[in-house]
Amino acid sequence: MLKLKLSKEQCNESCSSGMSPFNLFSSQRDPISSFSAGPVGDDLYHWQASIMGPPDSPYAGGVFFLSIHFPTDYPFKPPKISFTTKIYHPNINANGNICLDILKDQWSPALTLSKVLLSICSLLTDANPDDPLVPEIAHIYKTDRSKYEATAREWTKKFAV
Amino acid sequence: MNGSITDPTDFRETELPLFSQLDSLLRCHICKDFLKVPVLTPCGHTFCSICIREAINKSAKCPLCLNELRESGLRGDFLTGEVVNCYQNLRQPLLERIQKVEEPTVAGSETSLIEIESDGDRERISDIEEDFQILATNERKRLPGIKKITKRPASRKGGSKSNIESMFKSGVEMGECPICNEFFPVKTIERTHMDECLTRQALGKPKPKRSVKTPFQTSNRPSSVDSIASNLKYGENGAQHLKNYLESAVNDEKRLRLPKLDYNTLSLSQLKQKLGSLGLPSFGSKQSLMARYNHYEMLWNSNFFDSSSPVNENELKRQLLSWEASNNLNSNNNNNTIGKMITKNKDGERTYQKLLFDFKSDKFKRKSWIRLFRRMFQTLIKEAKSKMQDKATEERDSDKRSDAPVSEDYQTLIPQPESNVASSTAVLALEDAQSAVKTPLDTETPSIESKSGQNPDMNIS
Repeated sequence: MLKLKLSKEQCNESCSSGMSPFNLFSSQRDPISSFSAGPVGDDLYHWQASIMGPPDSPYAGGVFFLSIHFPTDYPFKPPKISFTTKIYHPNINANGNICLDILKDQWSPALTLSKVLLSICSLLTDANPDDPLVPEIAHIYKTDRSKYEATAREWTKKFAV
Repeated sequence: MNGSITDPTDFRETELPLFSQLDSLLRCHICKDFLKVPVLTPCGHTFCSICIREAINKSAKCPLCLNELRESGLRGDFLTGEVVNCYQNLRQPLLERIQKVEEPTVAGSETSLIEIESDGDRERISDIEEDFQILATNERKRLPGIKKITKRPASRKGGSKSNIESMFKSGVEMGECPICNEFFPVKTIERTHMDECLTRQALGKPKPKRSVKTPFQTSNRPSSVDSIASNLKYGENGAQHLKNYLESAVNDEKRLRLPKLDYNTLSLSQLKQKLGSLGLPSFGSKQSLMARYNHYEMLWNSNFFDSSSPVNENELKRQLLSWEASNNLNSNNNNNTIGKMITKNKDGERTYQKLLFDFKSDKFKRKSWIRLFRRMFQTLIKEAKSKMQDKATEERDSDKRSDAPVSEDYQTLIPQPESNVASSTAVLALEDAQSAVKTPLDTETPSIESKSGQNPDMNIS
């Protein structure tokens, strides 16, 4: 199983079994970070992650869950990441798909999962309405920022708290 | 933390946390392992030869700076290669040596008050560092840290006295041997040592290592012997690395670069012929033949162009085989544990496969994913809970069970995963995941703090 080309930091987490991977990532590796991740069961290719809503965003206070699938040729191909928790965001659609360049054509094998999750965190703080996945939300984001923030807060309260 | 997987963070809790940076620098940014046959790109970045070649096959950019990159631009970096090899040999002993110790170390074998003083200073500094780290990093460390602080007054008192003084205190009288001028317990000198020294002098033999064990000698002597031995060992290795570096050279004339193939113009039979002429197996679809040639070309060029000590073709073929084996394994890996767990329910199996397939092809169906997993996790939680209650009784029974024949054991294992420790941990992990999946659905979910505190409880209870 260790022949997998997951990054070492990720392997370290997944190999120390017996503890919840969610705890492992957050408490041992990076205590300050607002996200955690770990494999689901024995399948090292299928991971789950959680992200805390950034405090300076309408998602503050929410915990968002993500499903992660590593392709067999990771890290040469990007991992597939989707939100499991419903979220109101111009770059994340109803199915949880994320529109993020580093998950598509801007992927680099030097990236790690923690860097990607960090990027997703910053996407929550600063949405990119010019390259939207949900044009309706992007339109509201651009024209009526307070309405967008109110809806996002409401969704967060409803689905992520 | 463990021996098999190393990580720069291994140095975080040592006396020299800066080493974690050196450790990071000597690693490939693609595979995160130590650089293996490093190559330098025109943009000045270093990667493992295999890693960067594979990355270029996927996208012709430097993974770090995203500048355009071609395979022809790569150059072997022998110096870095030997530095990494040398460091890898040095790493474990270094780590052991700079590991923070719970108790202040007893001063070195050449005992002197000054040395002990400096030892104490160092302890104090590292304590401050540790206190600082306790604030900055994980809570897990707090416990030993506090223990150490409360312990310190007592242990420092012991440390600030010389070993000889403490020897006196512990009731062993020390005396100096008039012949070899070394300190031993008086009783030892009187009984055996003087005789030994005298006969040795008469025979003209050199002074042997101290054979008499005193409390502080037992702790000191082996380490100093170790250090001499390891110094010798690493000294030799270092010379070897230097030699390797000085002798390394790329001799282009001897080496034949394996060309890239244009698969569009090649027919299947031509491709098979090509593989056959290289002595490679030619079974499989065109797709797998192409993958095989590509990987072999990568292995070949990395080996004969970048490596300072290339291996022969047979070794390359062995590597290719193991790559193919693990790749096929991975593609069959869809039948993983979760897949197996829901095989009872054929619909579930199909749904899971479909969901996984959709997920892989960018169509993630959140709701059905949750629905499928929820059902499964609920049964798992039930199993886990009943198992926990039975655990104590089962542990008692386990002695009897080990006497039973193996086949019977397996039969009991398959329908009742409760008795299998490995599967129980998997169940626990899934249970945690269940709480993770469940929470976004439930409206009455606990707060974040209680959620994170939930998991260890589940594991312990």
